[in-house]
Amino acid sequence: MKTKSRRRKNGVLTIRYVLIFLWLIFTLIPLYTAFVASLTRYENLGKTFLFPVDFEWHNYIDIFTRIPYGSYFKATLLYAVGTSLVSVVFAAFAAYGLSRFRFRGKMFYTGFIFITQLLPQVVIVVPVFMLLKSMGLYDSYLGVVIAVTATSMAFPILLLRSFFDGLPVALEEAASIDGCSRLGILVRIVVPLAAPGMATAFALSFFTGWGQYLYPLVLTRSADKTPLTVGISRMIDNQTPWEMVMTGTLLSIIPAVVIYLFVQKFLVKGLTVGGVK
Amino acid sequence: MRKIGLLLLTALLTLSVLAACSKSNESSSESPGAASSGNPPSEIAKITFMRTGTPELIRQIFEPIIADFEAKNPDIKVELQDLGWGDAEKSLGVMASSQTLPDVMYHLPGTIFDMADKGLILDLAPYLDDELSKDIFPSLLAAGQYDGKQYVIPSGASTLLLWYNTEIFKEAGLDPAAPPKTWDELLAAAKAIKEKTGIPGLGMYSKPAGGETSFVFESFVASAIGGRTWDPSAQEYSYADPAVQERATASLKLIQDLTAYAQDNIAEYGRFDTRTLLRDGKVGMVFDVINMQNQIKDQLEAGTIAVAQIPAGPSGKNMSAVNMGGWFIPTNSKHPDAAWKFLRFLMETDNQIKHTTYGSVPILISEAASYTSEYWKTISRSVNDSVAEGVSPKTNALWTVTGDELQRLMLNKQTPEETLANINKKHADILK
Amino acid sequence: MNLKFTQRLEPYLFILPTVALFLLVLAWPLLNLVIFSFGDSNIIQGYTGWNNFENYKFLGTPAFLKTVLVTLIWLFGGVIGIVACGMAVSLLLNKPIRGRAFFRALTIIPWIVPHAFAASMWSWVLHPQFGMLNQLLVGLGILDKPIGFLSENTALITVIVVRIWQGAPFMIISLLAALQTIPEDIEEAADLDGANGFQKFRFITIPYLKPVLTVSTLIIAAWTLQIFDTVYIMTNGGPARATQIIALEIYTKAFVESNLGIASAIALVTLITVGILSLYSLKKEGSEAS
Repeated sequence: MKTKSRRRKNGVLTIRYVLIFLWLIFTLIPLYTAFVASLTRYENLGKTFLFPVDFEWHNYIDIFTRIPYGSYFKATLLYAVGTSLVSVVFAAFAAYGLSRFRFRGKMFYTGFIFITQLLPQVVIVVPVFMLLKSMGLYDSYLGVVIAVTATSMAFPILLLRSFFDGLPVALEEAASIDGCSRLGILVRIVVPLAAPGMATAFALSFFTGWGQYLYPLVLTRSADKTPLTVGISRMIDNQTPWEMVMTGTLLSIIPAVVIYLFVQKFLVKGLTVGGVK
Repeated sequence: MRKIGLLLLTALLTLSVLAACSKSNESSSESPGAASSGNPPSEIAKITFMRTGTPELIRQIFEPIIADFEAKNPDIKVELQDLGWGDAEKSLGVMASSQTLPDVMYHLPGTIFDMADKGLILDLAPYLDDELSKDIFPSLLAAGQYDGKQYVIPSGASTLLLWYNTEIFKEAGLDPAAPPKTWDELLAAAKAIKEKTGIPGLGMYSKPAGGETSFVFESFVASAIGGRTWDPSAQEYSYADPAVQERATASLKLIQDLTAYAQDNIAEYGRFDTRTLLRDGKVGMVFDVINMQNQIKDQLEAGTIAVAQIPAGPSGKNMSAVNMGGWFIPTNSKHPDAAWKFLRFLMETDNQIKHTTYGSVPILISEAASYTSEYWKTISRSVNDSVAEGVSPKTNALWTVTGDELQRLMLNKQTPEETLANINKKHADILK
Repeated sequence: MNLKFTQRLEPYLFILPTVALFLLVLAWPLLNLVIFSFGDSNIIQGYTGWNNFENYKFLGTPAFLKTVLVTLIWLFGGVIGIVACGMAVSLLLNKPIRGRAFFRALTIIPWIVPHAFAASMWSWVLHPQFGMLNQLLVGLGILDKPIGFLSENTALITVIVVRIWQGAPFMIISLLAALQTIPEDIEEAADLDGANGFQKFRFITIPYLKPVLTVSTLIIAAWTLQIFDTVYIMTNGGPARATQIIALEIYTKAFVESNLGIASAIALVTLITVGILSLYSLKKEGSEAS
């Protein structure tokens, strides 16, 4: 026989599931319409989005022949990986400096980091283009990664700083006495302890790089540097094959979601406080 | 300490190696173009070519044309590069400022004239031969001129057309073979459809995007005064001219009166949305450009939807404005002669016919002559009777304010007189 | 090497890579922003001539002031919505329930969808004629006429809802990570002491979340000010400028109307204003932490 508190716990659990479901419905409604569109024949687009009018499943196969999906995907992946690797490494350094030291210009530096997020992309894209051109980095993966990282590193830095702030210094002091250098401490102690933060920073930078549109558009020209965002939106015109656009979009969501599922393994409570005891 | 220094050095080295790698990747990816076949030609001019639009369809049209051209001109190689309309808006400025515009490119005159003001566009009048200039519809050729020079060779255009549903006409007791020819007939038809069938007589759009509504207004004024609404030498619309004001106000009143017979929620409709309305039989008529035809292919074939020239205003002429896009050659082109050769090739009747299939009215008189169906004859007539729309380097700004004012008018937030006054005032601000 | 000197130099070495990157990529654009704002400028030629602060005069026009008002509503509505939803959902997904990893993965989807496509999808949901919601509600008889979600009086609320949809995943991910740092034993101790959910939330969760929450909120605010793609496509600032936000104004002026001068002036003033406001709150948070 269920005790009163058991029933109460089940009640709370049910409410939890219901709320999560409601949020998921809100999240996925637009994707439902994308799904309906992806299955529709071009001539029938715009009749209704409530239920599929056609069931052109072959669109999901056709997409690979109608646009160079593989090439776009490769470029997208390169931008995502490049951005996240550079971001996380640089940000970890900076966050550690901010968290563990006091130095002249610290406030100014923090403020400047934040300012970088207030520069409208559209206004800085042209000077950045000129810059990369003069450095010979126009139409290169590296150029785009540099531009994206510079404009998106702010949050990883500030996020990791908060995480580092929350870690007790005791461990680092112990290691320092044992002769470990600052760098060693960062790499061997702080980073593993801040694993949830590091994984989050990595995931966020990854998706930032994944969804970039303006920078790859303006800063590259060759077909192999074109990511999915730019490649798919090229189709938009007077006769946009929306069914293809949506097929492509939905397909590109899947790998990203899978990657995030994978990253979640690191989002567990790390060694944390256990070590201090 | 030393360790940090070493780490930074490694990072810098890695970055520079990556930079070198991507650079060498570029040079190796520049694929060897033409395979050497015996004697390589003395000097091959490589030109780049862009036609804004859906790459899949563009390539279908132009790759055969390019192959044909290269076969006839072994000393010229043409590279077709992809460009979407969304991309163009953002990357054109960058290309212009870095002098990397392609040798032959399609775009809209407003932006081209703006670049011409900055010395970036080649005047094509010296290249233009009589045969071609006589073959292009006069209003289209005029539309490509600015400051006395021919900066654009038109190759894509549209007049405003009246698309209507013949079945709904019959239901409302109207003759499907006799679409409204005057403004009064137009209002009467819209009213009849609404009252007798319950279906809105007209599908209207009011989203102020890209000059769509401004174009409708301009076309109505053109048919009201029977002439051009734009003064090229003064570089301004004639809406402020006292001789035109009364008819311009009448055009605005027409638009406002029509909203009574239009579908609900006009504010949320753009041109694309009303196309589906007409296709699905939810409205009786729509004023739209030629691109409507892509949405209603089946219906056109079955004859349930037909097209007509726009009704005549007080002037008695079924005259519309025509908006146009076309080819230009930038001054930064390293091979202007080769570029012109290719451009001229694109304007040959057969090739232009292929280009027109992307979504345009006939550009060449010879081209129009080759179309024999009643449908195309109507459209060709509309081009013949058209006037060039007003275009200047400030066009985008002008369209934006006109679109805003028209939206207010259509939402019944202001009178036609107020709308015209606002438009004129804001235009004056922009153009001073 | 002198140890003391080394120690004083250390922090600067740690921040060196990021400083170098920032300066390299962003110093020149920032300087350009200032220069462009003081004269006639366009994308193609940059600064072309002094125009006697005309760009700044634009900031005082009634039309622009309306844009500021719209932007403020957009900003506050969006940020509050994102923080509230983000907090709620991250708390919901924090307990080890079945399927949690999968649910979490699904919640990030709005972030991955490019803004332009999100705009199209949402129009298909909301359109009065063929939109999913209207067809459903009318079809079920709940409404007799479709709702104009993007009509003059409702457009701003609608785009704010879309913004919340787009921004919540970021907040969810950040807060989920922060929630991981709450030591289990403290929670257990609180349970033993008989604390209820609300008290635990107030005295344990919030203090641990605060640093990340503050930073995330500021960043979300900065991003909300910057993005315009979705609004651009859904309403183009309309109807009748009801959704004209500053970011869209900057884009239109710079790229569509070829007036980089005004665009830069707007961007600069926004930057300075928001910069000062947030420096103030970052300082507060910094002094609290130390």
